Amino acid sequence: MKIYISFARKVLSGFVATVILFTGGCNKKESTVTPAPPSNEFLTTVELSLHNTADPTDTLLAIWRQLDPTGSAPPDTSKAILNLKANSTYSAQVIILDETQSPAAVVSDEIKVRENYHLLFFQPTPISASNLIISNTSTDIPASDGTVTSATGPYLNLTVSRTDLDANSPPLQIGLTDDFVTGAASNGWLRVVLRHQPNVKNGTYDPGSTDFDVNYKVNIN
Amino acid sequence: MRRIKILLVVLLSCTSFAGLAQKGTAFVGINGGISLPMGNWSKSNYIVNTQGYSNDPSGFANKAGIGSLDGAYFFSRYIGVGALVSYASYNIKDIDVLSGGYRESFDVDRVTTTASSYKMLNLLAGLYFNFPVITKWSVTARALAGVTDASTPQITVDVEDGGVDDGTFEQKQSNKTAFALNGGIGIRYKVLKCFAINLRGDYFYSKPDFRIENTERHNSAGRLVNEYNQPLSGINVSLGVAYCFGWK
Repeated sequence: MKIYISFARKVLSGFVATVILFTGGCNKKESTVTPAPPSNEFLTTVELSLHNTADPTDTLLAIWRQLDPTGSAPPDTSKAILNLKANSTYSAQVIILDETQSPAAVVSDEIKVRENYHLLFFQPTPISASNLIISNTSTDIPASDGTVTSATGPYLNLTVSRTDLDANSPPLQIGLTDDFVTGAASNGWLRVVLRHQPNVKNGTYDPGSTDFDVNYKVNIN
Repeated sequence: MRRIKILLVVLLSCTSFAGLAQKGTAFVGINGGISLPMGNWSKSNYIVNTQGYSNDPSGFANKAGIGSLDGAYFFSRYIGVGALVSYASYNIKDIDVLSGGYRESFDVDRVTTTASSYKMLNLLAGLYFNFPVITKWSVTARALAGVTDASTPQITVDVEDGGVDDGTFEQKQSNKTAFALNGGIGIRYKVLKCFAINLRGDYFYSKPDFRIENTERHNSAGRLVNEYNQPLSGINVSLGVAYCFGWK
């Protein structure tokens, strides 16, 4: 009986040794770091194309342009102006271009393809603290991310709401198409920010990083 | 009718010959070698999807080392019954392809992907065949069925963009026991009275229906495997030794 037990032990020891010999050396975690290839695409131009829903002749195109990809030269803001009518509703479209290419590449088409992790924010200023609404459907930018609220005004009477949805489940807003609703005559600024939120998009501003952050002068008459 | 009679005569002859041959021999063997995955399980497709999830069948299984212990009792000279225990661990291959697919799907600066391995423990039983050809040499074959206890790798993907770490998502390890088949042939060389060397080639097959949990997947993009129901099959090539009982 002892001989059999001894033999069985030897066989099992041999099996364990064989398993370790043949599989142990290979049983390790694989790991890799994948960097992005050198980019050949830049976000040089952000256009806001607006159409007054009540007046087909009232169309606007505001252009913010920075053709120096390094960002060292100041942007061209001579056309980054929105002259809106008071108490009106405009349907808006955000068009993002790479004008270092010829013809210019329409980057907003690419953003549309990657809509599930991109989100645009629109912050009119001056704004009162009570009108700064932070939620997963608001276009406002939190005070902690640069929005300065004013206690006294006068305020810019502009409200922006997104009208497009992505393919997430449940769907989240994108902001490539929007409604701009004006109130009484006023002046101020509109800050437009594109957030890139890979696998962290939840409708709020904070997750992710910024692809562009531009400003337009707004006059409501 | 005549063909059936001939067949019966041949079968009876074999049986009686086998019966007259070395009854009651047995062996215990230890083998080690390489396991080569086949089919979708071994594929490593580059998957990019920016607008939804992709449940791709490619399994990224690399070749693996395999160790096995088997034994059989021959109730005739040619035919016996036996069992096999084997273990293999298959690392992930082409992890750069897997990682690159995630990077492009999320359009980010950097992705760090870490993956453990597939593991398979097989317990099989069935028929063993032994056909002596010339002195000390014989051809062996086996056809086995049983169960495999298999697990999928845990895959961890960390996403980074614009200098911001966007967090880590995981494809969790999944475990499943399933029906398995194994069959193949080999050659055996009798070195000593009780010891022989085996060289074998075996095909293996199982198809566990893995249900895989994924965590921290918030946006619909990239490869997302929440079910894996592909055959885990391949070829094992192994070399081993056998201790034999009752040989003459």
